[in-house]
Amino acid sequence: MTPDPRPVDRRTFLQATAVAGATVAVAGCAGSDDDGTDNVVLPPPEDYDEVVAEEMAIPTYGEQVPELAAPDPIRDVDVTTTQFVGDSHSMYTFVFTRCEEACSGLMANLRHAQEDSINEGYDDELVLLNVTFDPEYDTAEVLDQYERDYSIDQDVGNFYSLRPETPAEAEEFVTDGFGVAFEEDESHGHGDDDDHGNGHDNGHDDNDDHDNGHDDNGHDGDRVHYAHTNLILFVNRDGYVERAYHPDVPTPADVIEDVQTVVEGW
Amino acid sequence: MRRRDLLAGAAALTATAAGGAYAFGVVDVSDDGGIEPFELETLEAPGSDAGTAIVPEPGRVTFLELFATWCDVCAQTMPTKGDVFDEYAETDLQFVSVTNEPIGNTVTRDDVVDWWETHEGRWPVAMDGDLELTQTLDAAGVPYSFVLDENNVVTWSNYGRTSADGLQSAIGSQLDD
Repeated sequence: MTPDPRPVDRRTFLQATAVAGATVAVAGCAGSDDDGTDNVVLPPPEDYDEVVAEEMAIPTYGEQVPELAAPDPIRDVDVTTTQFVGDSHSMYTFVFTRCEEACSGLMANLRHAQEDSINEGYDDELVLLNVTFDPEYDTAEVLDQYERDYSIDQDVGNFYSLRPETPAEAEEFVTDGFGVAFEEDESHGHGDDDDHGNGHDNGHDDNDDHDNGHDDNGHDGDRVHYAHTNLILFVNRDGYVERAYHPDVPTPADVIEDVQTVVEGW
Repeated sequence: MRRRDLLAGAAALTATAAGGAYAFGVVDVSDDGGIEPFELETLEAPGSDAGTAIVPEPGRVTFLELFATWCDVCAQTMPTKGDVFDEYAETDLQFVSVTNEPIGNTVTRDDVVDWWETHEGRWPVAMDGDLELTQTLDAAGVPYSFVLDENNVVTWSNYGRTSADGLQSAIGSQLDD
């Protein structure tokens, strides 16, 4: 193992060596006692700025998961975010199922994480939670089909679809709780409506003839559009945020690597 | 707890070492800026033989699309890609679709092949099982399309729907060079 690139307090390092020496091979790392990150396994994200992070609406690195509850109508259970503390790591994302753009990338990351948890045998240590902020459309049936569309393994028991029951409750859970803003986009179809930053040329060009009427309750269904914050939140077993993937949708390999690091490092 | 710090240190090192032009690291960017090719498993399906393919293949212009069988837009845009494939079938273009969904648990190779047949795929289809290609291209969703030149430099990319005209123009401008 190569030395840690961060400055190392030699005394702390030596203490760490003494403590850890019996069980693991030791490399130079003095820990991160000074930035309040004792509760997390992962190092701070690149370009991490604690002051900026504290001002963000979303829970960020090293912060505790907000305590909120919502039903999973597929499994007919009420889920509270803090119920996993002491038991499992957890990963949240926030979507509306009619979304054609960033949501599929968000959901796919949970799908990949679930698959890896099954393949690597840590499915009892990781819970995946997809939260809808469009409860009026995303009924139990719709959410169930959404899981099936993504080939979520519904038997292994570590995946939940949470549905705050009303738009007001969705806002309370998703926006007030997790800092994920969403707003129905009246003018949608201009390509700048989801901040995933990939410079894509937007998913609606082929359908402009449908767009202008904005038939939100009409069930041309998938033509409704929300502008929303992209967030995948990875929370460790103690209830602290290991990673807030935001505003860009991460690629699954990066997420899986982080999850494995935390699972193995716990 | 100390073990966590150690791992944290190791992870930080990895992140530092990766660096470079791509946000997510592990890219072996050659001097001319092209991406590293990967050897991917190909499926026995219409237009595709079981085996492996080098993607993107150095020395050829490549069109590649990352897709998944759960992706409606991927399915809806298959006819467009089919038209473009037909147009360039006689050229040296490498034309390949790559699924980056997890294969083996809830979705099998046969499921992908069924999807491919249903949507009239007729060109090589491969799997990015290790997600290395996806990570290298920093593709955060599907469908994500790329055109790369002979040096594996990305010259065009698009997330979401693609028009046939846009695709032809992106490919044509590289083949004509």
